[in-house]
Amino acid sequence: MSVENAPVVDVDEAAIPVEKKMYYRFESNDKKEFRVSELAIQQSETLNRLVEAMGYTSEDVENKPAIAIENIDGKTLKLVFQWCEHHKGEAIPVDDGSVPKIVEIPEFDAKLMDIDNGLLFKLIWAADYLNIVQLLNVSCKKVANMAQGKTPAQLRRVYLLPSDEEDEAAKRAAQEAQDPRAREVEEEFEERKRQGGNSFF
Amino acid sequence: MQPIPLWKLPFVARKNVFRQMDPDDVFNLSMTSMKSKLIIMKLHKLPPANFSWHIGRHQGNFWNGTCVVSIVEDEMNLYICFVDPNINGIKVFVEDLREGKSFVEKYLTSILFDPNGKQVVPQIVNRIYNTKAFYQSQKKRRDNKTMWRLLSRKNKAGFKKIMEKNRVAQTKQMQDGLTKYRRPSETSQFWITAEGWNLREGLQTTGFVQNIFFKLCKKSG
Repeated sequence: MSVENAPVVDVDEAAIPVEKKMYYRFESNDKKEFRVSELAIQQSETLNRLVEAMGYTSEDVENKPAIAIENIDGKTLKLVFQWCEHHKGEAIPVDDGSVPKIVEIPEFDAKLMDIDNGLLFKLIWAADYLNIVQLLNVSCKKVANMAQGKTPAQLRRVYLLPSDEEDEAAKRAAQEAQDPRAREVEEEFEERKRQGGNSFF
Repeated sequence: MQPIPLWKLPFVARKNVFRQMDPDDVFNLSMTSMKSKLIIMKLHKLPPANFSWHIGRHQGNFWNGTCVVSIVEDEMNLYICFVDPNINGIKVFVEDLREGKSFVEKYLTSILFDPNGKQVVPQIVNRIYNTKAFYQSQKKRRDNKTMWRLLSRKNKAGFKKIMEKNRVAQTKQMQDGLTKYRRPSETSQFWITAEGWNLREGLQTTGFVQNIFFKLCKKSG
């Protein structure tokens, strides 16, 4: 039968079952709710496994309470899900262990991460917690870029790095906190030394 | 700019940051404190670089340090070998100190070889080096070297075998990847940089006495 002779059948488009997009509801620690598509969730290994383990249907998603993510606040989670929605369906990069690791920040990510460093810090923690490899890569790249052309003194300010003296003081303080008698013994020793005693005991 | 507490980042992220940093920045970061240096040494281990040189009739190779060559002839051969297979761009910069001019354009010669193809050479694998050093090539102490006279006859024979194997492999490498360079003047300075990597070597002549003071200074370590 040729193509011309084939019977024409009117198709009612409304009758065709359209595959529904599956959405999940998540709740941040400050009780803000987000709806995220299934495809976007695949960017996060942690969430993907969680959702798979729960085995929710679309009815369950509506009827049951939203999945709580207690470690992340609403502002950060919004950024994370924005990123996931934009990059949904993209392949998750595999780390080949090369040094230096070459990562390019796409335009969207650069705009998304045009935030203050406090929020960027939280975003990195969130990406690490949710195991979103590419988001972690680009956010770390932004942190790495902050060091470009800086002297050690400038780097100390940018990354809040303590100097050797500060490290030493912190270590001593920690030791004293662990053994409160240590300082007393040291003072006693100093005093006896001042008095001219040869032996401590 | 609001600071970002690097040490409070999760471990994976911190490692990621170090790996994405420019080697020069990693070097600067390691200078901020002893703690930084120790952490970077653990997380950001740079591969060792081996630089072989051949100047006139003097030749040799070493990992790190300073060497003085007393007699220089006009022809100079340079050869660099990296352990890391990811490096594939190495450039030789030539600069005349006397004129203060850069001969980069005129005399720039790239060592056009792919280090990926040189993996068969066992020279680096067999060397003893301090694994705790920032650069793996840095030895902790001079006496870490095995003393030749303390080795047994059997070990000596084994070493000789390896050295001979290395020598043959190195000769082949030299033939394959060597760049011959003719000095533009007696007071020329040679800069060798690996593209985006940790090596910066200065090679300079001191002019009148025709000494070459060869300084291999690792910019990043």
